[in-house]
Amino acid sequence: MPERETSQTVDDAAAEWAGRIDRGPLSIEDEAALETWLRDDVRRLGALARAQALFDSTDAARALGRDFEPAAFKPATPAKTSRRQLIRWGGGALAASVAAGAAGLTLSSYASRAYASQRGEIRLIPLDDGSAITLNTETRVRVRERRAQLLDGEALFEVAPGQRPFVVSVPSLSISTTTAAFVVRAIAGEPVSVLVREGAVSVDGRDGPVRVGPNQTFALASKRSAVQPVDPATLSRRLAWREGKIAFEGETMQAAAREFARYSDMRLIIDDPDLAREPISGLFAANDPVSFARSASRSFGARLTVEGRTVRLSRAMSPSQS
Amino acid sequence: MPAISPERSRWFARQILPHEPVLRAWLNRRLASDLEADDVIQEAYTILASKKSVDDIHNPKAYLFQTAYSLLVRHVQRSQIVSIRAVADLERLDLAAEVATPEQVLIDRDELHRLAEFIADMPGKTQEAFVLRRVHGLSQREIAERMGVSENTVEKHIVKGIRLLINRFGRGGKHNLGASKGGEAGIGDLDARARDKSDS
Repeated sequence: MPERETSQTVDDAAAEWAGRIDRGPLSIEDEAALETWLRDDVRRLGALARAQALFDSTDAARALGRDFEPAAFKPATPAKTSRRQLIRWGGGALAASVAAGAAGLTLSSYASRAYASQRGEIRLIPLDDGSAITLNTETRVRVRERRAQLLDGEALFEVAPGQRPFVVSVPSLSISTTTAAFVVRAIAGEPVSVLVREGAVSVDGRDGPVRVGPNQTFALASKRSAVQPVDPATLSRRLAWREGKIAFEGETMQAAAREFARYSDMRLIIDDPDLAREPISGLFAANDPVSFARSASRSFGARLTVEGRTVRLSRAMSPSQS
Repeated sequence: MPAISPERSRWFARQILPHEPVLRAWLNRRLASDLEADDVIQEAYTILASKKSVDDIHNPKAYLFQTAYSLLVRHVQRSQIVSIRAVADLERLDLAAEVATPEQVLIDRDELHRLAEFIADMPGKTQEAFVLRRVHGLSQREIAERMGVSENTVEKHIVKGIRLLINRFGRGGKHNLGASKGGEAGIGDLDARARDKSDS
């Protein structure tokens, strides 16, 4: 029996294959070599699966945002780093432009700070108290210690336990908690909603405070705001944006088009009123409305045209009765 | 054929890898000395990767442990080294109760922080390539252009990054990336959690 490779050697080779596969389609020679490699030891496919899965899971790094600065996350001592970093940023900004008012940063950490995500961007904001806010596309927040104002958009708040409650305010509501993970959505044309994933929050609105617990959602309504349970599938669907995805489950095509408009500059226009009312389900890449439109056109036998930044879906020339 | 489909890879990342530290600890406590936990884990992953479909696996954690367990048993039979401990307490893990919950399929704050720290710890050029690939989403070719190096060099950096990932989050690594709270929990912790559940 030949000498058995160590699992470390197998992992090293698996890393090489995963890197090669990530580069692009394999050449015919590479494919043959991979097949041989895989066949010769029963552990290799498993090691490759792990290497690829680990690498794939780092896709979540997109949530760190385009202005991610690795140096700020040097494991050393996080508290110190963030202070130094604050001064360094403040200093740089100061040198660049005093008029921008950035001087405040170096003087005091008590001033509130504003954060915004651009269209299609997901952004993670770690806070000093260990809490974190993840901004979905086109979202603006203002934060000062354990108080946050959601001005516009949608954000996930993961609140670390602290001495004082953490309060999120949106126009017409305030949400407070000692520790919880919850999403607040405040988008023009839609009622404000709160979705709690973990812990519990108290939502204080027009009708007085209401407790919203894990796997529950609160929606502001003109008559009576209601707390309702959410099933696990819905919960994960409503958080799909964290991975750059949009999930639908029976929403109309019109609603889907509106949702896509939040994430990219492409405009999705549905020309036919019946088509606009068709329900759609599935998981789609938020930044790729064209792929979405393509699969919708296939499902509904609709015609797809792309002109510049406009994607148009219309009924096929002859009304299809399939 | 690409060895592993993107869907399967995602399934691994979400449903399987989070349980690896617990599985490794469990294996380490019961293995005969001539077998390494990582050998068993790799082989178990091969079995999971070769399955035509994983749709029928409702409890991936239980499935993973059962697969590893059957490999252990086979090994014990072959080597005739009887390791009683291997057989005794599979049931104690209370696998059936551990169904994946939605929060298990989300990368939470701590993991994202860990990922950021992991990237921060990478050596210079490897870090640069990795950030361009993962944070900015450029392809290896685009990274080569951006960094002014060959595509082969970029591939080497990515490979190095993957190796670091395996060493940090797989193998002996105590951390895990990509999901489940309690992924690092030992068996004692699992028992504790089961108790918590019955209390609430």
